[in-house]
Amino acid sequence: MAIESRIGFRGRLISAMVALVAVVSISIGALLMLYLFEDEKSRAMEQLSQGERVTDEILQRRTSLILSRLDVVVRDFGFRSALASRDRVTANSALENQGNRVGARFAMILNSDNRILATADNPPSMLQERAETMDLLAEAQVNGFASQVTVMNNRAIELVTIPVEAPGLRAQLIAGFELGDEVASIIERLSGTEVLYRAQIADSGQYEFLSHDIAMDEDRLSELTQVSADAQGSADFVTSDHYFTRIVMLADGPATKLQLLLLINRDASLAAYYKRAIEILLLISSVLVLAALIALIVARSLGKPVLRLAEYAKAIGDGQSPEPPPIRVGGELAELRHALGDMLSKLKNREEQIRYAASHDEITDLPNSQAFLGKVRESFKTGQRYVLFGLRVSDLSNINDTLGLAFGDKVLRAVVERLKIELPDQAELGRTGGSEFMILVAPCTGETLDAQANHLLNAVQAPMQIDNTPFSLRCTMVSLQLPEDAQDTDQVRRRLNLTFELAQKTRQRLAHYQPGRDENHLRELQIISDLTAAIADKGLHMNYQPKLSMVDGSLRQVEALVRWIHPELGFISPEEFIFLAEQSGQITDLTRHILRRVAQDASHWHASGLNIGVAINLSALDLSRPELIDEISDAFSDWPLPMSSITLEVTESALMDDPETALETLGRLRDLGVTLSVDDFGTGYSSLSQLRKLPVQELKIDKSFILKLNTEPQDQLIVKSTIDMAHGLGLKIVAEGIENHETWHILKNWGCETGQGYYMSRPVGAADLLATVNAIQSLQPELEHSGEPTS
Amino acid sequence: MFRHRIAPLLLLFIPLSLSAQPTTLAVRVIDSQTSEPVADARVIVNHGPAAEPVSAEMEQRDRQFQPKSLLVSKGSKVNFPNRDATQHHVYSFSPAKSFNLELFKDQPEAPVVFDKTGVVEIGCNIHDRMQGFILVTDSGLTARTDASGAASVPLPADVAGIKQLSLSLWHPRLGNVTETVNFTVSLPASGPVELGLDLTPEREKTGRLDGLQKRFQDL
Repeated sequence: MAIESRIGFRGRLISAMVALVAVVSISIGALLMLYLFEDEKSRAMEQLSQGERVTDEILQRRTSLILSRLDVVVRDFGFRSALASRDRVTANSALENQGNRVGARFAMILNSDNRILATADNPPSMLQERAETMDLLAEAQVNGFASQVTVMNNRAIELVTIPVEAPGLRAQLIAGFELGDEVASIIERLSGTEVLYRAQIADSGQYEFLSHDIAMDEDRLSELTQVSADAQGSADFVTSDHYFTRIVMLADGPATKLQLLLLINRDASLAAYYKRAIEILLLISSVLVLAALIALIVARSLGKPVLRLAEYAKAIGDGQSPEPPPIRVGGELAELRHALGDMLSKLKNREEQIRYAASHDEITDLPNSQAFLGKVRESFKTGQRYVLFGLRVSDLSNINDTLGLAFGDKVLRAVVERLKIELPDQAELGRTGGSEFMILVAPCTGETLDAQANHLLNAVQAPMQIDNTPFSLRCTMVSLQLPEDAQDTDQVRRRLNLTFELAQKTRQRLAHYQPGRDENHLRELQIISDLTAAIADKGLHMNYQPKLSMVDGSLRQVEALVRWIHPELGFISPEEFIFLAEQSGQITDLTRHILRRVAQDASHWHASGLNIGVAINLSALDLSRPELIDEISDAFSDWPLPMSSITLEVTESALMDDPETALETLGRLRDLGVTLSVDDFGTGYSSLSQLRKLPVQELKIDKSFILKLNTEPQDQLIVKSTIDMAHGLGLKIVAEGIENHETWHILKNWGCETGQGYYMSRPVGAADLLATVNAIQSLQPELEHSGEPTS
Repeated sequence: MFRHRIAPLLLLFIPLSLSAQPTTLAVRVIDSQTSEPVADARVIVNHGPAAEPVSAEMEQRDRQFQPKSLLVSKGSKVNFPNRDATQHHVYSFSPAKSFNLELFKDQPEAPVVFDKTGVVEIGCNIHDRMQGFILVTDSGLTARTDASGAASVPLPADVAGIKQLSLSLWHPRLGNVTETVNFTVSLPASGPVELGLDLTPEREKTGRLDGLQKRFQDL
């Protein structure tokens, strides 16, 4: 599948076509080669068969000729007379003479008792024996002649026997004629084949070639020797590597086997065969190339429109609106083109619908937030100045809940109607939230701005009647000056929301964004987000300000004060970040952290022999948490001093927000044995009846009354009466913010129990506490000295 | 042939049977292959007195020897008159008598004397088909079978008494025509004595070469 998809339509067409042509042409070529091969073979067979017939004919004619000659010889009266003379020498010479006449290689005459009458040309010694073995004599007696081929002394010899019969003379003439190269060359000439004699060596069964000078190399000879060995039975037509061979049996006796090999050299025909093979291969190759070319052309003419349609479809996919490609061919491709064109137009319609739906509010048909902010973004690009109004319908969710969503939708549409009536034509209006609208109008400031805003507000808030239900809406409206008040859409959104929040908080129906407000807001956000990390990474530091007993000026306790140096914003006042922590709910983590840190630091100074207690500030939120009790007891489980040396300071306002819970928590804290103190006393709206119920032991007078105590008679009055009141209620007094010697002594004289202020010591780190103790020690005489008497 | 030389020894016994009645030896010669009666077979009794030499003739007529076979006593003279228009060259290479009468017409210069017993085969050098036989014998008791193969030889008293009679038979169709075939016959015999000869079949008239030629034509 993978390959199929990779090679594509054209590739498949080409390969199918080429494969088909290849199969057909290779089959035809192979058949042709096979036919050529078979043809060559059958022609060779035909030629060899003809050669064999020629051979038979030649040999028979030769035998016939020999016989004819011998017949004349044996009838020659002189010859007969010589034989009858019984003179061996005469007989021999006569035989020799006649033998030469007929071309015999040798000759011999036996009488009827098989005794030799005469010999000529040294017949082989085994001639007589061989003649008997071959039954030549008997056959000649019966038939009048006998002729057989045999091998003697490695020569192919035709032995011919003919009786010599004359009145009173009974004998047989045996003459040997060599079947030599002469005969072979005649056969070669007539049959067009090569001729070789070969004889089997009786013992080994191996064949040997008889000719002496064979113009043939060893390999070929051994190949032909092999041929004979393979040729068994009637398979006398043999194909070997270089020859077609026909084996003609000349003698097949038990002692001698003589064969005549007719050979057709295959070299020439093989060369022709290979040449044809190459020609056929070339033809096949060119046919294949041609087929590939035709396939390519066809595939291209088929494939081009397909590719064009593919490009067309791709362009449609890319969101373009291309022209349909011109396609000449009809049928499926044209149909496909129409389908694609149809798809394109439908796609455009749907896209438009989607785009409209994506950029418009379906209830009011106004641009939605996305679309409207897009316009705002445009305005930033052009640098055009605008005033951006935000309008929120306050009670839309109530309307939806009570009168139903459909009604709510009608209300929204009514609002839009009214806004459209009131707004100038060039103004842009969008619904950017459930009950929020944004309006872009021409720039204006001050009175004009307020007038326009109020005009719009009044129009929307005017009483209306929908489905016979009369009602009026409450709205909030805010404005931003673009591009002064915001430089991008994020700022627009954020600052608009900020202004809405502000307006709601301050219960204003119209608010304008004030530059810088957002920056403060961002700083607060950053503080809130970084505070968690600061708590976890110990980015907060603890400082401790000594609280001295005013009786003897001894250091009894230190107030733990948290400090934060922000890596980017620098020193952040505890008031700011504790306020934000209370807002964000992080105060509980912060308190827990401070408790642990203080306990840890105190354990160090306790270890160094400073028996000093601590005062820790609690937030109002802390008091609403029951876990606080456990957290404190856990943190100070190893506290070596009396628990009363731990003071928990709670602000007046914290106690007043939720008095019930605060009271309960304070009771339980009291049970722990810690000292409870009301911090910043005198700044809040604490009711004295409430104060009476609180389980506190101490009041800490706010430093605003103490700082200038020595010079402000009013402050002196307030402080003096507060001390008296507290003492009357059985509470001790702590004064903080003591900055000079006079104030110290005034308070001391009034019976204030504990003092705290820069006069004695600034807040210091835990490590510096020992030094501070020593410094206070040295201040001791001054503190005990009463100075000038107070009134 | 040398068997015939013992004949004189046998003659020593002849006086013992002088008193016997003159009698006739009847034989019947058949072809031992076919059991057909054989005509023109020569029967020679190798006993008794030698016959006187005679003069005989074997003439050539129509390129044939006439008669084809001739039986003569040893020492006989045979003349070979030529009755044909062509010349003849009569000769024989037989060991019993080798002679050569070069081409002649009418009558050779001298008759040929056959002074040795045996079968003399006679031919003509220029007419291969001409063949004749002259049997030279030293016995006077001879006969020739008739068409029924029968022959009878009147035996003199001295011969008739011989119990084991030696006979020589010859026929031109014998396998080896150059020799006679010998038999021994027990006497007295009741009825004709049957003798079998191994004969070659009647040769065709055509010569050897004709046969060869015919064979090649068949190929």
